[in-house]
Formats: sequence, structure tokens, C-alpha cells
Amino acid sequence: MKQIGITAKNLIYTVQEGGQSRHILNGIDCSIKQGVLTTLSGPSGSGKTTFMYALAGLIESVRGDVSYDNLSIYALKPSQRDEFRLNNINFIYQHLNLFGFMNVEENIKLNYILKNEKAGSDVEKKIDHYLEIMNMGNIRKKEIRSLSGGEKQRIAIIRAFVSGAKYIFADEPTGNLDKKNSLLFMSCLKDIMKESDATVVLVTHDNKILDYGDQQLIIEDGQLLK
Amino acid sequence: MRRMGINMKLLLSKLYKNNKNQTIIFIGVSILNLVIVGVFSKLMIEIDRIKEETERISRDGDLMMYFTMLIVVSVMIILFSLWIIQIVSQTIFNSRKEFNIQLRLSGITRKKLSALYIRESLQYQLIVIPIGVVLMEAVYYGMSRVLDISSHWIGPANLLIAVGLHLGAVILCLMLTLNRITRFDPLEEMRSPYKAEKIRVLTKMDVITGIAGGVLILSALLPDTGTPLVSFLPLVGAFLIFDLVLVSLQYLLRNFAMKFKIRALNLGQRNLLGYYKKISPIFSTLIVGVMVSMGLMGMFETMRGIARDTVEQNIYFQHLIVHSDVKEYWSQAEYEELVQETDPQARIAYGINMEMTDEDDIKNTIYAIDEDYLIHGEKMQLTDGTDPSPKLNDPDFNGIYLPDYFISDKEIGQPYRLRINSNEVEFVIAGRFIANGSRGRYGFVSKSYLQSLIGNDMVNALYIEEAGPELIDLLSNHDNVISCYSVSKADIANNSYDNAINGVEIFELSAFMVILISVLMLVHFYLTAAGANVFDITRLRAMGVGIGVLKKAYIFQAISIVTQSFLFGALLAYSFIKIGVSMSLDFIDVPVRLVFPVAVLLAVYIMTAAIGSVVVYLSVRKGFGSDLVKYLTVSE
Repeated sequence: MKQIGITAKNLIYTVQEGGQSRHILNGIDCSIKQGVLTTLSGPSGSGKTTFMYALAGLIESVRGDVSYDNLSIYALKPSQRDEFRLNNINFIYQHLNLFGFMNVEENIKLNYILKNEKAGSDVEKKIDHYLEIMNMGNIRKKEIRSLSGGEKQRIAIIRAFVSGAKYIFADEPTGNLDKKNSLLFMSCLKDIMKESDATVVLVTHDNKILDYGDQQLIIEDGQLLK
Repeated sequence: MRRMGINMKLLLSKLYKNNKNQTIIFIGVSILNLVIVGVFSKLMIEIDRIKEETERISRDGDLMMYFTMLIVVSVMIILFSLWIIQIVSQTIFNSRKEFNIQLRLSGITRKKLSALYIRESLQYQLIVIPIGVVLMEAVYYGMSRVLDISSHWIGPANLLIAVGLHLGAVILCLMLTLNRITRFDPLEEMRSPYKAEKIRVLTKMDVITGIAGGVLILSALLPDTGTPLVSFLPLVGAFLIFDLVLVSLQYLLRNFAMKFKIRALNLGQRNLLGYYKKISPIFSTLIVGVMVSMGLMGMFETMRGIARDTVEQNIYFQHLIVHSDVKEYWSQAEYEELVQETDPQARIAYGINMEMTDEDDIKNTIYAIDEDYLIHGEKMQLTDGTDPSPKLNDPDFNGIYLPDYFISDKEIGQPYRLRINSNEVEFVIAGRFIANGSRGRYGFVSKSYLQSLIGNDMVNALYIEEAGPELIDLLSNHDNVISCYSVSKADIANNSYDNAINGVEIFELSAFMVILISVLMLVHFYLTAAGANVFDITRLRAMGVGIGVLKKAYIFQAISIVTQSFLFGALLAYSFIKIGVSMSLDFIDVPVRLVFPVAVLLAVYIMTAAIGSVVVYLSVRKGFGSDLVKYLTVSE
């Protein structure tokens, strides 16, 4: 039985549209298990991406509570929340995951650069190992612009897992990839997850991807259906 | 074809609405370019005319070099302005990547895309030309007043030429730029949103050009060959070594930031290396701007100092009194009697100052002197090193000594004919003396010889090395004197300082235009990079990097660019001053104290750094808002 990693209680997020209030998140309660892949799906505009970023502590004006191992993230000061994310959370986006002003290796080690830490030999080994799993060979010194879309997404996975983050949020990471690359992305993700105890929350609207989820959440009109 | 025209009009209006800031900067830079092209081309014509006039009168080689230098500076400023227009056009094109891709995908050819950009830029000229022409006339009017140029307006012909040159230059720059950058594959561009970013690493070419530059810089240690162009080699070397030094410096700063865990500097430097291709022109423009403005200012100040020191050192008299019109001419003995009665301790040389006309119908000031003048008057050194005293005391010496800038050695021994009151006097050129500053056409002859020629023993000039105020007052205001010219050494020194390089303040100020354009470039860069920077900032914030660190990173970056450029530019300006002074003044017999305008440099640096910091902050402040998610979910 997996332990609970993230708990959301009565999450409400409202925006003003045309002079009227619209609930993007309408009182969501949920628990996300630790060390597993949780998929979050739903129709367009259902609030799944907003919910994911609210879980990550990025939506300032959200009401309710999100806690990580009983640490209530919105109760922290903004600077403490930044520090928490730097040490515990990483993201994989649909687009522009990598920084063009750094090469592949620097992008992978970005968290260490941001923390002013030197990546140890264990991290170096991990990078080589993940690059091997991803079948990417020696591309550490390559420029980001020379990579294909699929390669960029796989580098984003490596970065997330090398960062030492316990929680990884992925926002439609396969949305920009063809079917072959999407499946390759998911299989790589699962392979790496086997060697890690990180919790992954993945937003998708692709049914084929949903099957990879150990825990599946469906959201509609700002409410959790499942 | 007609339909295409209508579409272009629509596209142009949409482009303007979507890129207001960039458009305003482009229009601003275009106006500046038109003003610079108009004013400096007119100045070049005027300076050339003055140069010919001066050459005719004094043949002063130093002055010729000085005027040539002003023309070269004018050309440099014009070229610099064109270079900026080209960079700004290129940046505008690159910043509209999405638009360019979409147009190419929808079947617009490369030529039509270029035509669209050229048409857009020409459309802006409808605003640029009237404003530019008005500003051009205003600036030139002010400059002509200060520079004492007789024509105060740029005439219609010159205006047309300036506008034509400006338009031609803008179109040419655009065509050259567009010809190169429109050759992109839209599909490839779509696949690679990071194409503009390329981490700058040191290449073999950097090292090779850097070594070549280093060798040229070291050539400054070689003995002076006297060839002006060789003096410029270290400056050329500095430009060759430019990339090697700057790229290495960025890595050095990045490693320093990593070692001392300065997160903001680390991020800023990494970002700078990633965008180096775009930032490099800002470095170049700022460096050239600082070099030209500070270099010119320092050079002119140094030359003014040299002029004053030369007067201090080479002029012995404290007062010069010339009785240009008197009731009755006095002999030297009569003056000496008056001096003996009033101030027996006074030390004075007596001579005749006379204005004569030469064969070119140009006024010459003739100083008829004797050896006392060399003791109490001023230093007089012949180019062949001989002592002129015995000849100046000789009543039969019909020679004349002329300034070294006016005649060559070959002319020694030739007759020199002068006219006074329709009487012709013929002297023989006896030698060249090293002139203390440029004083037009003048010469020294033997006082006793001139007295014998005019048939009386009059003197009218008193060179007073030492005398009490009572005597000076008496000599200046004596009943016999109708008109008197009196001047102190201090006044001459100050006038020499002020007039040594007359009217160049405008050139110094104009050089600041180069810095102003460079600052515009900096602003332009941050405005065009704002979108990409905001994306980077929001992603870094999501990862947990604090707002404070990110703000500092971008502000550090702007300050770093400005600081490095000013340091490099200041070094080049120092060389510029050194080379410029030695090139402009052939003979300097006072110790040269190079003047570097430190206070001005600091003030301009602080201003530029402040503008850079404010602009970078304003350009990326969207990334510091609370609505991060908007940027995180946006598609390419």
C-alpha cells in the first residue's frame, strides 16, 4: 500500500470573466499516492492544468489547502515556497522545457546550477545511465537547437529525475509529439520511475497515455469525477 | 499583383500595431541616422573648405592633420550610424519569427517578404524625413555658430543629397540584411524555436585572431617608426582580440559566480553567453562609442594642455606691449631712458611688430628682433639646431626665419618678398624655426636690418620679462600712445588653451551621439528579447528560483554588458588619445600629460548602466507577476 504524497483539500480557484465569476477549480479534494504515476485527464477547459499548477504551489490566489507530507505549501511565505519547489518539485512542459542558452548537460544539471551545487559522481553516473536508457548516446555538449522534439522531451525527463525532485509535474508532455515518440516518452518515463521513488503527476488528454497511470484522476468543470 | 498590394497594406498596419515599441525605436534610429548623415556630410564639406583655406594661408601640417582627423571622425560617425540601422533592421526581422514563418508557409516568396520589410521601412520614412530635416537644420545651425562656419543652414541641394543618402543607405542595409536572413527554411525554423540561441564558446578562429591582435598590440612596444598608420596597429589589434577577451571574460565571470555561489551572476552570465550573438553588437557599439567620445575628448584636452604648457615653457615675457599707433615713434634708447627712470630693475627686449603682405596677398606678421628677444621674449629653436642670435644682431642680415609648418628645407635660400605701404621688401629665407602653436604666416628678421631699411631707429614692441606694475601702466597709457595692444603671458597661455583646438566641443558632443545610439541598441535588444526572457523567467520561477535572484540576474547582466564595454572602451580611448596626440602634433617640446576624462566617463557609465538596468527590469517585469501559469502553458 503506497503512502499519500500530496493532499488537496477543498481547492477553489475563481477567475473574473466578463464581469462574472467562473470557478476553474470548484472545491477539489484528493490524495495523490507517493512514488506512482498519477494521470490527470479531462476535456479542454476542465481545469486539469490549473489543478496541477495549484498542486505545485504556483497559483497564489487559490483557496483551500495543498500539503506535502503534512507540510501545507500555501501556508509558507513565497520565498519558502520557492525554496521548497527548488528542492522538491520539477516540471516537464509541453513546450520550451529547455533553456536555449545552455547546452544539454547544463540543462540536465540545471537544478544543481540553480542551487550553486556541484553535481557529484553519483549524479554523473545517473545522467549517463538515463541517457543510455533513452538511447541518446553522448549528447551532453550538444546545443538544444540541434535536438528533435522527442529528444528535447526526453532530456526534460532526465532533468526532472536527475534533479532529485520527489514530485514531478508534467503538463501534456506528449502533446507536441507524434504517436511513436509519445509512446517512447512514456516508456522511458516508466523505466526511470522504476529506479526512483518520485511521485509523478501527468496531465494528458490522450487516452493511450492514461493507461500508463497507476492512479487516474478525471476532472470536469473544476470538479474531480474519479 | 494588386491584391498582393492590398494584403501588404493590411499586414503592415498589423505589424505596426503588434510591434509599437520596436517601430518607435526604428523610427528614432532612422531620424538619428538622417540627422547624422545630413549634419556630418555638410560638416565634412565645410571642414574641407576651411582646410583648403587654412592650407593656403598657413600650410600648417599639424592643422591639416587635425582637419583630416575631423573629417575621418565624421565618416566614422556616419558609418557607425548605418551599422546600427542594419543591426536594428536585422533584430526586427528576427523578432518577428512567427510572422515570417507563417508568411513563408502561406506561399509568400523570399523576395516578397523582403519587399514587405522594405516597404514597411520606407513607409516609416514619411515620418522620419520631415522630423529629421527639421532636427538636422537645427543641429547644424547650432554647430555652425559654435564652429564659426559662415554658412548656417544646409541648403536644398545638400538636404536632397542627405535624404537620398539616408534612404539609399537604409534600403541598401535592409537589402543586404534581408538577402541573407530571408533564406530560411520555415519548416526547420518551426521545429527549432531555439535557433537564435547559440551558446558562445571560444573557437579556434577566436584564438587565431586573438593571437594576431595580441601581436599587433605588442607592436606598440616597438620603437616609433614615425609612420602614422603603424601607430594605429595596436588599435586594430584590440578589435581583433575583442572576442577572445570578451568571451573568456564571460566564462571567467561565470566560473567566479559558481565558485562564490553568486546565483544571480551565474544565471546572468549563462544567459549572456547563450544570447552572445545578439549581445555582441551592443558590446561593439558601446566600446566604439566610449572609445570615440572619450578618446576625442581626452585627445583635445591633452592638446590644449600641451598648448598651454608650451606657452608656459617657451614664452619668457610676462607682458607684451605693442604701440601700434603713436604720436611720435620712439627709439630703443628713448624707451630705455623711460624704463631707467621708472624701474631700473626691469628686464625688457625691444623689437618692431609690423604687418606686411606677401606675394599671395596674405598678411604676415613680422617680428624684427635681436638676441635680447631670445632672452626676454620667447624660445626660438631652429630646425637645423644653429643659434640665430648673431644673425639677428647683424644690421646687414637680410634673412627671414619662417615657421617650420610653413616652409620646407628646400625653400631655404629663396627670396621672400613682402609689401608694406606699396613698398616692396625682399628677404632671403634663412631658416625654419619650430613654431609654438599655429599663428598663421609670421617670421623673424633682424631688427637693425629692418631699421636700416625703413630709415629710422624706431621700435614699437616691448617684451617685458620683469617689471613693476607702475612701469607697465606707464608704458600702456603713455601720452605718446594713441593705440596700444597689451597682453599678459597668462592671457596668452589661457587663450592658447582655449583656442588650441577651437570648436571641437561639437565633435566631442557628437561623439556622445555614438553612445546614445549604443544605448538605444541596448534598449532595443532588451525590448526584442523581452518575450523570450519572460518565458525563461517564469520557468525558472516555477522551478523555485526566487524573484529577487532573477531580478538581480537580469540587472547584473545589463550592468555587466555596460561595465565590460566601458572598461574595454576606456582602454581603447587611452590608446586613441596617445596615438591621436602624437599624430596631430609633429613636434612637442614639453612633457606630455595625457588627460583622460575620468569624471565624464564615470558619469556616462553610471547613466548608461542605470538606463540599462531600468530598461531590462521594465522589459521582463511581466515575468515577475503572480500569473505564472499563463506563460507556462503557452505554446511555441
